[in-house]
Amino acid sequence: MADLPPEMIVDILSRLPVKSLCRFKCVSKSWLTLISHPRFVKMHLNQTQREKLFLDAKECFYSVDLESLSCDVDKVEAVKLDIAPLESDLEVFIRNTWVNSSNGLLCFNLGKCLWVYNPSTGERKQVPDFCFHYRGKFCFGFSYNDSIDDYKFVRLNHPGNIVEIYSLRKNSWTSIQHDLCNIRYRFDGIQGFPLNGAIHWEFYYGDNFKDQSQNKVIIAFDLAKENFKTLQLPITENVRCIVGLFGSYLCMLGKGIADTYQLWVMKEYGVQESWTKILTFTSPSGFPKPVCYLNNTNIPMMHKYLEGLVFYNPEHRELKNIEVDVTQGFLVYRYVESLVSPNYNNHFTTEEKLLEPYWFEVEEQAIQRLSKNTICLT
Amino acid sequence: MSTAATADASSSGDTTEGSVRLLTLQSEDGEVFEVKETIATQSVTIKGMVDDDCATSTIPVCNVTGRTLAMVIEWWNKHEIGAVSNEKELKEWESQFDTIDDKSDRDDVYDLLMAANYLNIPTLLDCCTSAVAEAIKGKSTDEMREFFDIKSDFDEKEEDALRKENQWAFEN
Repeated sequence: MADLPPEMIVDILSRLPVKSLCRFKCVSKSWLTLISHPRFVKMHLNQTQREKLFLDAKECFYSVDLESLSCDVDKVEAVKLDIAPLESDLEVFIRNTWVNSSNGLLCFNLGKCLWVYNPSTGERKQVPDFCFHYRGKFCFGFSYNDSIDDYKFVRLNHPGNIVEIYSLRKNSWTSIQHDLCNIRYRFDGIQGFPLNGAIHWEFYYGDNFKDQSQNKVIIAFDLAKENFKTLQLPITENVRCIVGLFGSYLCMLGKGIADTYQLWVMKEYGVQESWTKILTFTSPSGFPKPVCYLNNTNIPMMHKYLEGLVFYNPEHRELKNIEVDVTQGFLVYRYVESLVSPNYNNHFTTEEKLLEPYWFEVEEQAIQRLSKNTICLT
Repeated sequence: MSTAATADASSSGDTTEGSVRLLTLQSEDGEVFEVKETIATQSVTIKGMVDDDCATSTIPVCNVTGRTLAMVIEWWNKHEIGAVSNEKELKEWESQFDTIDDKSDRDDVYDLLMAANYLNIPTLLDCCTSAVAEAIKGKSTDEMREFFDIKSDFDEKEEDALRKENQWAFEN
């Protein structure tokens, strides 16, 4: 394989798991340059979407390979993530964790600190100048936006009209004012749903906090334009509903009478008419949280805090459990394996130095070929 | 890989199919293959020649041996629309490329990669590239250097530091 053209080597490497690539950084200087290069990181991200679940089990974090889950599997292995240096925070303050993931980067608060963490590489960064507030209601979110090639963390408070925005690329904070006066959110620490370069939250109209879908609305904060827009929920009969992310769709899970549930997804982002009901099921033990389709199927997988992962078994028309070897209850978040560094700003300040004409040129070719391939294959 | 190596290209020489046009391909070592145009145009390069009316006489396929060209033609036959009844069967056939541990398999895949690149056959290129990725993902750095014939240009100190930084990637 010694005579392969460089662009083919780049193509091959872009298909490897993160662990192999981190090892292969030691092969040679030019491989180190290539594998660390932002363009290669992006190419790898577009090429290999190895999806994983991040389990937050209070004292520990775990990772589960989404590919390892199927209808025939009763039990899956969870790999404990080694984030020891973060653990000192646990002693300092009660954990109040919420997590958002985007392109393989997770953002969460632990104690009084805000962290950006890549569970695939173990790389992490503490966000500077994060002001922790003990009291008050806040909405949080973290997401990537392609048009500005940046990751942003957003926090808005209520009552109040301030949106605080942290840019990972600039490694600095800014703030703007918001004008969301006739809508409210109910609880503290509302976690956003990152999708399409925006962060989404579930809000209520007025102060009555009724849980039917007609009293709720999705607020989207566009990270590039830094403005808000609203997305309406489907018009349907339900006594209670929750909003979330199902795979890469906005979703709504509505509860009807007698423990029946309906799962809706917005098939086409931003198009109200595209809300589609994809599942009706019964669940006597309470509200599950939609997660995504089981690997390569159209069977929706969900999560219940104490029962773990469940999916709808179409044959028996009931929810079936997949046992996860984590002893206590846990929360579930989806993420992809990636090389993206939490030190995203350094990526760019050192980019000039990193550029080596040889790889740069071949990467361009490989990227072009990659996009051609995608067109031909679809 | 053994079935690919014994690819039967003769089925493509069927002239009884009425209006189906046949193209004549000649490998680097002089082997001649007659292939249905509808199949051969899976190659973007050949399609370009057909579109430009340059495919009227024998098409020389330089840099590709008869043995490799036979494998490419088998690939085309399998991937002709309607040739394989279901996706699963095709995936099973493609899975032979998943193991390229011994040297002869490696040579086959290398030849196929180069042919797919030269003839611009996106599906074959994609499959072979994935096969190589699959084969190398568990390799050590030394094995990688051998595989791609690369000499390390790190000094000992640099390599040690880098290894330490990525220690977890060297553990099982």
